[in-house]
Amino acid sequence: MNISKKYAPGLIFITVALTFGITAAFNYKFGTAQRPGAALFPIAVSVLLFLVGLASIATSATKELAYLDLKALAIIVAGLVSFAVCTAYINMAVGIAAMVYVTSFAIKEQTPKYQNLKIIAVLLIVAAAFKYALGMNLPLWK
Amino acid sequence: MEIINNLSMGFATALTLQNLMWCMLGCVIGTTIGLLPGLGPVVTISLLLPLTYHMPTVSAIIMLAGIYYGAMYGDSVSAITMKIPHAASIITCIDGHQMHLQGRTGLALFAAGISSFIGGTIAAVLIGAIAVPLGEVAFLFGPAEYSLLMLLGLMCVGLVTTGNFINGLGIACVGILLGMVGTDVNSGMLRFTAGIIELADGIGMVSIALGFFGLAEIVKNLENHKTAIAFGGKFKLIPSWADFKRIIPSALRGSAVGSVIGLLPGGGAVMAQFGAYVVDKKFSKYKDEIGHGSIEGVSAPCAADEAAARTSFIPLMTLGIPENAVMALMLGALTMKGIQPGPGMIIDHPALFWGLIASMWIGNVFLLILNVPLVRFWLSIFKIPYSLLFPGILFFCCVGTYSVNSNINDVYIVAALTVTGYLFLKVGLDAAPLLLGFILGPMLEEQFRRQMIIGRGDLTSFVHSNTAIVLVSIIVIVILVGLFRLSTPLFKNRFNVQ
Repeated sequence: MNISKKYAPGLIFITVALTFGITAAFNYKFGTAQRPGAALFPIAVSVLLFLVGLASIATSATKELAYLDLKALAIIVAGLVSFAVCTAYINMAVGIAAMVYVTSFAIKEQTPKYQNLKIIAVLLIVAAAFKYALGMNLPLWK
Repeated sequence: MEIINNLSMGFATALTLQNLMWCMLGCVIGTTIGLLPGLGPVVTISLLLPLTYHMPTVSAIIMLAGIYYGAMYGDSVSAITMKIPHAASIITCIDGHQMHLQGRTGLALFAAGISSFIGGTIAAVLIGAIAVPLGEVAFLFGPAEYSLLMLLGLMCVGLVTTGNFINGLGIACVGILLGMVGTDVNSGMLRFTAGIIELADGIGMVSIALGFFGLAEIVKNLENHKTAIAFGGKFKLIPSWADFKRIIPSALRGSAVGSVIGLLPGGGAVMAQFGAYVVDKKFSKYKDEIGHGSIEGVSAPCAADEAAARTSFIPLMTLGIPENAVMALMLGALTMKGIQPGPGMIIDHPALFWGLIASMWIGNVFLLILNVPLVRFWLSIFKIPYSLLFPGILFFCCVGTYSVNSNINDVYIVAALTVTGYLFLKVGLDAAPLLLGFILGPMLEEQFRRQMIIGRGDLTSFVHSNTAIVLVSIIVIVILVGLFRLSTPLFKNRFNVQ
């Protein structure tokens, strides 16, 4: 997917500014100058960000397009999510295996047979070392 | 006399077996990532940040610093032998690779190693000498001055960022807003949590660092990663006396230039290398040879980037202003440990500060050993394929994120931030200012609201002292420089090198 480098930064800024600014304006107190409330600072920053967003669109001269590799991104996110889901519901050892397996789809080069299994084995040893040698609280086997 | 006492305290801290081990580990990791394509010090520090959560503060900072300056060493080796500079050695590449092609690889590697050692040592002495007077500035700071100092730090984004000033400012504002997610310290109210109770403590520093720096960069690397072919030839490392005599003056000039540039906001390793190269091209006895494979073209930039990597700690440690992405991550690491860098840090945490300085010297010796006699071993590292490296990196991300709070929901937050971070990276938004805003923003808000209460809502109460007036003047200058950069192609092009 391609997106415009000229408009994207400005549009991102405007979106973030509106999201935070509107949330702050409707939910938190503005306070007074003597006693500023929780909304004052976020609204001030949001207004500044909104203006910066407009300025970014107005001053940007680039015509470049940015290519987004959605497949690579999706694989990494899927790897993280599979790790989290498996760790939450089964244990971290399964989470690590799931993460290695899912993310191996992102590798374009030819890999030797059983490479995933070998990687999982090494990572489990490292995780066990973290747990037992460094005393980290990892639910490796639950 | 005071400096000797301080340094001996520093060495007592840095020379404990534990800290020596972390320093060495940092140097080894740093050299490795300096050599490997696709991983710079910023990515690596962000990936290892969660693991430092379980380490003592001094050890953590010593290791992270070792990674940073170790990467500078490693980078010059890959720049010389394979013409692949990743972190900073763009300038070293010019003469270094020429020397390699002329069959003088050993000499180039030796010059790089020894010059980096000289640069690092001189900069460490300089930090020891000027940090104390700068640290005493702390006594001049109240809420108003702190607010202005943080505002100055945020304004420096225009100089820190590799993109343009406007986008730098914008992304810093995004960082400030992300920093406000969680409980408002003044009113105790939950802000921007969207009803998710896990966000009551705010978004973690580790999640931000991993999402915006580590994983976003990994996704980008996956798009088109190339496997480098290792250099397997033979070379002689020990130079002749005549060659050695040429290295020293050039390394000294490079150290001086690098130390000064390292102190300036935005003056990263690339600027230092470039500055040293220009100075040598003007003042060296062999200036005509520079650009065609001369020793000076290697030793001056190598000494300069190593010196700059160390002196860039001074603005962070004394004023709390990080001047590049690595320093922003260091600031994050310190904040995570409950230490607020800035005026007063040297006085409040002397063992940490002087331990770090002493470890820089020790790290230098480690790096000299690692990079001169053992350089052949390091060159074999290129044989590691990315398909093996990549699951390991993700493993560190996942386990590291989880281990900070023993909370698996943090991994989901990292996943969401990775999507955002990748989008930012691809549209050319540099995430360093975001980190700066994320850390400084909430502090700025707190100090600002405190001063508003003290000053009874009067904005002029912010400029009640000479220190405040000086800070306001600097802020105005920084804004003017930022606007000037916007309109000057020379300044725009300067950062395209990075």
